[in-house]
Amino acid sequence: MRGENLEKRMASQTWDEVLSGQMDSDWADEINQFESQLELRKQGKLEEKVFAETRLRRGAYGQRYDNGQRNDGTGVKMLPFPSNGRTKGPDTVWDAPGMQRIKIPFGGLTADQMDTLADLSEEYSDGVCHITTRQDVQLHYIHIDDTPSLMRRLAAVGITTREACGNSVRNVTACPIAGVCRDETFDVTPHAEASMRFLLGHPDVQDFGRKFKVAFSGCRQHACGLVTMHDFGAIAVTREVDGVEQRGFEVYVGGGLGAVPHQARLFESFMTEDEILPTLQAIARVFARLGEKRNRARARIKFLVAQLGLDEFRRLVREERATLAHDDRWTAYLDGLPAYGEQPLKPGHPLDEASGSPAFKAWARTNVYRQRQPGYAVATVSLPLGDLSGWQLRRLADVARRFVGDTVRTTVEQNIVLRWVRESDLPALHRELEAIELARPGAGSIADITACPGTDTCKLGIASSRGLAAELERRLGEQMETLDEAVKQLRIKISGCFNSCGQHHICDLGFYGVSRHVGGHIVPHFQVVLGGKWVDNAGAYGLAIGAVPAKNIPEVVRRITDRFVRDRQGAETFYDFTTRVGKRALRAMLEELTRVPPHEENPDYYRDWGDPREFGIGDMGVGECAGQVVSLTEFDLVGAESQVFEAQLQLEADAFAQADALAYGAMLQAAKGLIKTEFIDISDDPDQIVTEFRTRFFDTQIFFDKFAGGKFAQYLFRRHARGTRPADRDTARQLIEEAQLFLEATHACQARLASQPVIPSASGAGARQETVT
Amino acid sequence: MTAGGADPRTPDVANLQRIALKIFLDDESVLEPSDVIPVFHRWIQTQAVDGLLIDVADYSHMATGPCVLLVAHEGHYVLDRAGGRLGLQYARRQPLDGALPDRLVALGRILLRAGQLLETDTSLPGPVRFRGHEIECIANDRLLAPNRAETLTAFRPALDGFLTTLSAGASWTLTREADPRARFGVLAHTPGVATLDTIAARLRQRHASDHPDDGRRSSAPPGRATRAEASAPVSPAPAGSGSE
Ligand code: HEM
Ligand code: SF4
Repeated sequence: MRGENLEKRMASQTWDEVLSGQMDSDWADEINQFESQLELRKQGKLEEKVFAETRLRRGAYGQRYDNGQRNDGTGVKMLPFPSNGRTKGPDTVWDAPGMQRIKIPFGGLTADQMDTLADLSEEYSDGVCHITTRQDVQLHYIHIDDTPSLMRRLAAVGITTREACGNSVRNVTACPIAGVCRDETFDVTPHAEASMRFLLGHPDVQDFGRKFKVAFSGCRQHACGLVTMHDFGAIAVTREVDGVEQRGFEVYVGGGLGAVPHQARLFESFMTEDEILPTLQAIARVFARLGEKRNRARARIKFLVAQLGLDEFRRLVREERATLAHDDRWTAYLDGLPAYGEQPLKPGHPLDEASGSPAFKAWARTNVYRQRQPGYAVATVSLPLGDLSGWQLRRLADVARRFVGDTVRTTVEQNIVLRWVRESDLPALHRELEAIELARPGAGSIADITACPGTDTCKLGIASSRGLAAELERRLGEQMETLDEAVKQLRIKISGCFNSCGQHHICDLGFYGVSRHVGGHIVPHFQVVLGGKWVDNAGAYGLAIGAVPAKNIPEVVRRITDRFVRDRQGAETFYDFTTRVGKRALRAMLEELTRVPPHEENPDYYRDWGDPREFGIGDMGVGECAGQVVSLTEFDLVGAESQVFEAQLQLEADAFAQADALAYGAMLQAAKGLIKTEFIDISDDPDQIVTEFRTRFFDTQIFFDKFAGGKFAQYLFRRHARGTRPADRDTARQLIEEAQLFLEATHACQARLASQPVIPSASGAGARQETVT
Repeated sequence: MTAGGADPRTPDVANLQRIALKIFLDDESVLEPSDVIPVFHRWIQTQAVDGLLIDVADYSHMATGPCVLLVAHEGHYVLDRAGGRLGLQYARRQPLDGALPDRLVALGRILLRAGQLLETDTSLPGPVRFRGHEIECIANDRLLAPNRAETLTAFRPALDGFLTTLSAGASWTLTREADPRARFGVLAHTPGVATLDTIAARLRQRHASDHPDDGRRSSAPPGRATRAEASAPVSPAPAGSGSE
């Protein structure tokens, strides 16, 4: 029994028939099975939760508004999809558009695969192909009925969407210039590819509480592999044993971004190549057995490592490794390593430095990387917001065929690179890229911004990361010629919320979307994140220094970069500059920008970038009493914000106990502020605050986030229960992150409360006021 | 699409549903693509155009391709810059009732109505004018309509009928998309100049004649389509034509 998509209903032939024999038979069977499950769900014979996990594991994600509701700017409206109550997951309407994530292991693409992706973007999506922050491809506005055909067409060119989402091993990433890099220890591509093949569909990776991300890097110092933010990250290293060079990996575990980011910890300083796959398997088994399953918020492996301690985790993994039955696949690929390598399409030839137009030269300065192999270069196709049209992708496939063949990769900066370009071909390549509008210079510069989907398509988005990124790219692109060299090299990354899909922690200027309640309206804001490092495999994570209205963020960028140019000492990096100047001084520069003008003075602040709708209005009705109560709460929230900030300063000064105390204090003050909306005489006693908060806001679920439930409240409860245990850098840092999230949740809760209409009571006073007095 | 061997696909345009029609702006300089974003949002608020309207997607940062989309369940409305030419496209995603000729007319009516709304929108800098003598038709379905000569042959009767209704019988020059991997697409051009209002009125008439129960009488002369069909030369697309 199979699903009934549009073509099946209507037509004389199907993709299944046309492509028969061109798909790997296992993959074809899996897609048939998926189609059957789709059909069962349609008939109501499969539970919606089960179907949701099934489709997620095949990369078919939900998308914003798929609950059938949307605020059109005048109020929340129903979207009357013809689904007749049929759903594809809890609260997810069948006919609502969804997103399809397509797994591209280490970002490697062939020209034929690019053709197919282009076709699919046109026929099933909106004509746009999007490159993600983990080297994947995403198509949006996909109808679930179309997904089996889409998957078959991908399978016919060797791409599977299996385990692209869901609680499983996600895409295995690697440096986009692995194999051609001048600084790498060795090419990690075969190891990334072998790991992907080995783990794909492996029975030991099917029972995780959360996703598991793997990355390989060829060196320590550059960013490409972003090893420190992965559940399992491996950096290529060599050692000498009896005068013979031996290859291996420095292995890290337990890293991850997300709401509470963790730097991965060193698991083993030298793991031989043949141990990588069995160790991955052992880790997977330990994670599946001991990892948190019920509480998603604590289910990443980083929490397991933190909970067990690294030594115990390592011991368990080694014990598990010792019991594994041998599997030939662990090492089979190693035999092919000496012969492994890409075949260049043409013999190398150096570039005549005088050749090329001024536009070519400007492009080459930022978008061309000279390969280790003489006469060859890597050319970066810089994509605005990671987007290119189906037509552009198809023509880019032709360009690849002409210049490099199948040596194309996507990057975590949402670009595409063409490897093995003969240097002397670069001017011609540039002309061809110009003809398809893909010759944008400035790759890897401040105007090449990374952004998650944000409010455009993500259900969890708070502010428009893509809208802000487009605006900043436009402004910075125009100023490119006049920008200081040091500023040009900075990196901006933006997420629509704290989940950090846009990787805002690991760049020079990071932003993530939050909202603030101002005078009866909700105003889109971004937290400004400073202190992150892109190099050293994402060597340091930034911290938020304060929330600024979305519309003031371009000014934030201008002020901070101007100051960097003015006060920079010698060749100081931005990271060193922010550390030297200090967050207090940087925050002071932004103080004035945090002010939101009243609505009647400037309504523009109350709209997000690229979206003329009033930001989250509609169902709001604020009475005077609520306004007054809110202002007391607001007072505490402001106090709490400064405590979190102070905590960061203490952390930087290595005063961990003070940092911990301040972060805890911030949560208590925020909680107290909220309690005041109901119980004005709340004391400063932590026990009373926590008890009152629990009964009034946690047990009643008033504090609960629609998606995260009560997780943020748990941060307060856990810290409170811990008493005065000594803090170290890691625990203090984590508590600061948690306090920040607790504060965001308090802001959100306060906004929800304030937006409840004031119901006039018999006495004529507002119902909410009654509870106050 | 199909790796090696003979292409097993046979055109089946009778069942073709994913069709996109595009009209072109006469003077592109009157409009910044982002001007349309608030208009599309307003259309959602007022349910101004046909379909279940969902959201607006802003791709105005891209130099080509769709610029601003009004995402809808049945079909997207797209301010489209594909091929370097700004225009309004209606890209159908869900099936329509009726035979192919009727479906083309229905799609044309949906598109022209949206085009007329843009032409009369006072919030746009304007004046926005679409050409009534040039239209692009794309089959957004490589299974049923591979970009081959046979597809054009199969598609022409319905397309010619639709086009000659728009031009009141005058002939059209058809240029087929050259890249066999691209979607089957035809750019149709007729020598006379026509406004959007004119062709919209002709399409309404045709609809009225096809549906006499609606109470209106048709004046469309029978047999015109056949004559136009014979006279409409199909020029082969110039190599490397840049259309998307
Ligand atoms: C609780 C929910 C979520 C969390 C904690 C989360 C977290 C993350 C993180 C940390 C990353 C990137 C960094 C890394 O490689 O580790 C990521 C990637 C990404 N996320 Fe999310 N995310 C969530 C939900 C979503 C949703 C709902 C969407 C929108 C549909 C989304 C879209 C993306 C995209 C496009 C990427 C790059 C993806 C890839 O290719 O694997 N995320 N997510
Ligand atoms: S960071 Fe937030 S808004 Fe952006 S994609 Fe992730 S969950 Fe969505």
